[in-house]
Amino acid sequence: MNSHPRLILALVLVASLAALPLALSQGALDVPLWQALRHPQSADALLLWELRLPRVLLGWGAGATLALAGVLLQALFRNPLASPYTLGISSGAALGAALVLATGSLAGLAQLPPGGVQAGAWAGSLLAALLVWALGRQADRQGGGGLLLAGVALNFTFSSLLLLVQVLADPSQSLRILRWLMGGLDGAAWADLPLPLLLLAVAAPLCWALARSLDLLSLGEDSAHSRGLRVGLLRGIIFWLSSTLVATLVASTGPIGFVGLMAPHAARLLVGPGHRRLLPAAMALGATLLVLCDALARRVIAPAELPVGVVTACLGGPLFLLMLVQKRRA
Amino acid sequence: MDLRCHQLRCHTGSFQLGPVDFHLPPASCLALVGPNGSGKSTLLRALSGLLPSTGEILLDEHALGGMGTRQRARAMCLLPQQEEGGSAFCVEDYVLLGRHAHVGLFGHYSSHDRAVAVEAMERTGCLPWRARRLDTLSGGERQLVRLAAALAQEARILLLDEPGTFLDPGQRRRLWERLQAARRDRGLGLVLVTHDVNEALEHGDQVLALEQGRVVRQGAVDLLLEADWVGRLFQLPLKAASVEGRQRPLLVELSASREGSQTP
Repeated sequence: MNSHPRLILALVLVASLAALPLALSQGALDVPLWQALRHPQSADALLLWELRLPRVLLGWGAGATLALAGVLLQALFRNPLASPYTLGISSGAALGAALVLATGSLAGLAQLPPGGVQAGAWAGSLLAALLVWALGRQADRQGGGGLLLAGVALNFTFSSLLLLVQVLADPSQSLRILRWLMGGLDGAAWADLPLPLLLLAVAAPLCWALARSLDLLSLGEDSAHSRGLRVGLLRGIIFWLSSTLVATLVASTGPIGFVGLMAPHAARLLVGPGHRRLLPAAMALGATLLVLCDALARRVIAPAELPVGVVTACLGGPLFLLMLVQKRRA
Repeated sequence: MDLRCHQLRCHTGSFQLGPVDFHLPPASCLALVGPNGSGKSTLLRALSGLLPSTGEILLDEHALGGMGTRQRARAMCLLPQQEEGGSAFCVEDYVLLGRHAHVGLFGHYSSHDRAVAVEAMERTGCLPWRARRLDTLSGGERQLVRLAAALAQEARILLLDEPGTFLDPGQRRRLWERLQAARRDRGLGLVLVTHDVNEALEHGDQVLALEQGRVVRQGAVDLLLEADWVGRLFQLPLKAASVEGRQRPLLVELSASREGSQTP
């Protein structure tokens, strides 16, 4: 942990805001911000306002949400390898989305109804969350760690079913499913923003208010209970809140990997384990990381684009290893 | 605070504990002894409310079952043998977590909470390490920090699960000095689980011996000087031996034979 965690936190928060204008100007076409602002009717301004800004804002919110869910689940399982996708919620979402894409094609629909894939993803995540909760609680009564085991088991089950759907779907739909699974922010519009951002705006202060309870939970259930924490209630809140956050986000952007695992780790190295600082630091780092990765995804093979999930995974793996090595040296 | 336990029974899987009855007056120490798997830690977890139980647990005549989690934490605190996490916290932040049962919904620490934490660190000798991370401390220092957090909780009864297990004799001595001071100054009651019969003899006022979930003996701690039944309990030949300078004799193990281990 750094010896000036407050200063570091302030810097991280400023960096996450500074990433916004930087990412706005980057892409297949470089758009100088001041020119677009001076000429609001220009093509540059239109590009910025209608395409880039909602995309960058969705990326910012998505990065923060993934990091928040990562911190919550790492606290819930007291496992640093837990990520927003550990519980199988995203696999359920992926299966739901894939089923909609595949059955739409089977039914001969030239075009799916608007929001169809999102609705499928939502239904899939809800089903996954209900199953994990029910099975995990049942297993918890007979021992411990039931929620984690149920999540991991269902993750595998949903992933296998997803492969089955891909094999059975026609090749073009199979490709669309694969593309969706890579996660992406392309095609983000203003209409995609309210729900994920509103949810984040409600969840973030609520979690911050629970920061001390999350600190206690990290000591282990016996110690937390003995210090007066209602462990069962807190676990329920964390489970359903993180599931809702992940379900809503994955329905909009698909599963974007590594941000929810890496941002909490990096934040912990910078500001320590206390959730009062860890939560805002992780969210700011997640937002910065995803916004910058998306800017990179737009530039690397311009005028084509890479799915941002591919960029986060390519950068995330080596960065994560680097962090682990640094931590060991420290 | 007065702790009474009446016909306490607890079932975990196929293991059955009880019935257990005892009365712990304020500032006294009840030692729970017995071989591994006899139910000592189960009894401790049932007392702290971590395991469901039947029967009555009364704290100053108030039923424990009717208390909220925070109210219970203000009365009783469990010090488990080992803690699963929290090693990255600095000492002061960790001790402050002991104030959870006293702070409001959003966990804001008042100046009073901070003063109580500082006093608890002072009492346990942890104040010089307040800015250090727990994982930079030795096992004995860490145990003192955990005791400081328990004192900051201002509970009146401390449930200790083998508190000296990972400590060297000097660290164990210092831990007990702090515990005895808290008993004396604050009227802290102790329920102590230990495998060390001499630790029970030295610090306990009463003893309750368990075997396969049943109470086999209980009473004043001097019962432990009857080496026959203690020896049968642990399946060891034991004998009480007086040591000059000690108030109570010690129980010592009689080796069956040393001849086999001697080199010719």
